[in-house]
Amino acid sequence: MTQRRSDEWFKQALRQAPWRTQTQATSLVLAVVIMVLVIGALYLAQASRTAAAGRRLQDLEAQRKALEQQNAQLRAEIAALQSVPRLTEQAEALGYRLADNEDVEYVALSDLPPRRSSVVVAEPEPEDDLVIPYDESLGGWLAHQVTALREESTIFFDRTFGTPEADDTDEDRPEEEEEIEILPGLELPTPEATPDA
Amino acid sequence: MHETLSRRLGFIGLILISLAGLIVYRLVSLQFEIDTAYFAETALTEYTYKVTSRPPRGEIYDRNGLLLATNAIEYEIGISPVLIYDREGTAEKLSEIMGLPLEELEEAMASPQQYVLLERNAPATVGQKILELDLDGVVVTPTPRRYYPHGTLCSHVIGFVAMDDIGYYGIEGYYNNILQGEVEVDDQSRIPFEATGGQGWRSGSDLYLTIDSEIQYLAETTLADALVEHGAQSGTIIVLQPQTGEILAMASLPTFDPNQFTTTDASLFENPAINKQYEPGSVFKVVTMALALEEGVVEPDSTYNDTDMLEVAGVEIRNWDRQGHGVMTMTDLLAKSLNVGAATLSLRIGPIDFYQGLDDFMLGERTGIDLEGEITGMIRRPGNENWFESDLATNSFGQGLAITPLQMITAVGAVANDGLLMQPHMVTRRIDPDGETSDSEPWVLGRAISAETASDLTRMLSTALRQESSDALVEGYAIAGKTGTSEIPIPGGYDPEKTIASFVGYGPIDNPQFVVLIKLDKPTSSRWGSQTAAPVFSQFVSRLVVLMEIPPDSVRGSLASGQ
Repeated sequence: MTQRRSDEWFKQALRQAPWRTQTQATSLVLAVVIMVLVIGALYLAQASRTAAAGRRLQDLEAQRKALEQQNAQLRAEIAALQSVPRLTEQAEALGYRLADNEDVEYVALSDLPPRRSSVVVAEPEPEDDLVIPYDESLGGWLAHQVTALREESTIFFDRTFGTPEADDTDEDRPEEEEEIEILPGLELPTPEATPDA
Repeated sequence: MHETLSRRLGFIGLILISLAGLIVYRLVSLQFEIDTAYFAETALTEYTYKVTSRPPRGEIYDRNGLLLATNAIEYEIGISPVLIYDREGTAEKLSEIMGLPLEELEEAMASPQQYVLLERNAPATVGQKILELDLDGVVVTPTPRRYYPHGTLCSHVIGFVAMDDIGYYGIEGYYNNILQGEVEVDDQSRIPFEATGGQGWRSGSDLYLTIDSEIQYLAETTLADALVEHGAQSGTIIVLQPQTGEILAMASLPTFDPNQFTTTDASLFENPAINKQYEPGSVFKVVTMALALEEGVVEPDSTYNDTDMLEVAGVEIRNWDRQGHGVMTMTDLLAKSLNVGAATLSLRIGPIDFYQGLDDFMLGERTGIDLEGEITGMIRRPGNENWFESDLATNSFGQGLAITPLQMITAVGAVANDGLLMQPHMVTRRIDPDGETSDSEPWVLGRAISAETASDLTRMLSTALRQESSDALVEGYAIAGKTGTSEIPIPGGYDPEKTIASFVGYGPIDNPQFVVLIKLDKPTSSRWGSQTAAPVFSQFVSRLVVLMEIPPDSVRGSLASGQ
């Protein structure tokens, strides 16, 4: 009896064997297909975002160029309005005339800076490079992702646990009682002298 | 059966794994091992195209920061007729803004061409108005151009930029490479994955000139008035700071508007202050006297017998009034501008020392000023084929040689600067796009004469002006200077009627702050520099001292003494 049941089970198992194998193969293929789809979707999402960002950059560049041109045009118009012949003409229309040496009274002033000083132009400080250079290699992409993840985690931890208080013993912190040095010839405005005060 | 199936599956799996391995190997090798230059180049040619971008040209300012040359935009306006639906309405709007006849616009819109150009260089206001309307089928393209907001002011100094974006004449020509920057040839992607541009070019540097626009304008208006008053054909005024060599003004008339260079006579582009030679005439006696004093041939109080004629190698040298003046001092020689006296000095100096002295003043050579197109002078010397002994005499009073006005004022500037010859220059500061600033420092070309000689000569020139009650005198200021009336060479001799009247002077003599050269070509009111250029000098300097804030001698004297 037992021997008979055992034979039937074995025959049944033999009958089911191809089906199990097919199921396993199908599952494997399905898993591969799903993985490819997921990777494709991720790639597509990233590519579309990159394309959108690139397009926006191109628009911004065009906008910057247009603004620079407008700026140049406005500078040219300002320069034309400041033209010496035009100002002289306007002054003469108002009844003024060019002074000669007999019209001028000279008053002696000490420490008066000379009028004919050299031109001083303030140059803007160079800004840090805000844009991370794009690296098309696999290594570059991974490095970019790691950097982004690190920044996000930092923000997350800061928001969750708060920013640590500044160290009171920080040597860079100026002492409250420290007096501010006033350069010769300069005066700090008093509250009474400030219109908003 | 089971074993057969397993073997087949295993074999297929092995093939798939091998293929996957190959793909992974290829991917890794592409990223890390293989030289990617080929692929990068292929990608560039397949997916990119070349775009040439010109960086903004550097701007030009005067010494006080007033903008003299900048970049503005014009608009090219055209239409694509097939894209215009409301032709009548579009034509009306364009006609109103552009000022073109309605019929002309309607005819353009009926054209079968894809694109019809309406105006190539429309003003910015016109282009912006049309852009705001956003009309279908109307193409408005901005085109950068060089713009000179002050028109003719300082045009000979600045020069202009032509259609090929290259600067010509003056500062624009001399500093073209610096102003132009570096042109970018960029690979523009056809797919919008990446933004390009702005990385390859380097905009031009900004230049600050030594020119003071107010002084320049004063020089130009004074010169214009002088040409009318004295009936002169043309003229030049140069203002030099003798201690630094800075050119504060350089004006010549007639002039041109660099914004309209395409419709201007090209002969006006040349700067007569550096591009044209002239025989300086009696102002050259300043140099002759300087050499005589320097060589020890005479002392300031030396005398000589001025005859009505001096014959040198068969050539008769006569004074302007064709008279002899008897015993004259060196100051008298300068005051009365005596040719016989100047020739006497040059003969005493001798040709070797005389022409060596001219070399010390760098007369006849390019000064090296930073303006395009400076020419040399023409001074014949012993040993030259066309040099004659009589040239030594005629050269002493500024005839028989040719120099530029800038060479003349530079030489007189050396006398005003204790004998030191300074490099005349136009640019005082350069600011590169990265913010780096470089200032030009005064540069000594050499010592022409000793400080003692310069001081003696200054005193003599000032005394000579007062002695003759010259029209060049400026009330309240001690001025040194010399008039000049030179004949104009023509084929076969000199023009019997026309002259070049000039005056070179500087002041205040105790601390010279300016040297001014006035030159009037072919004046008709009088042929003499003393009656034309000298009063112009006085008129000009009386306002120049106000602009330069130079108090009268009495005020400066009282300040110095602490009263």
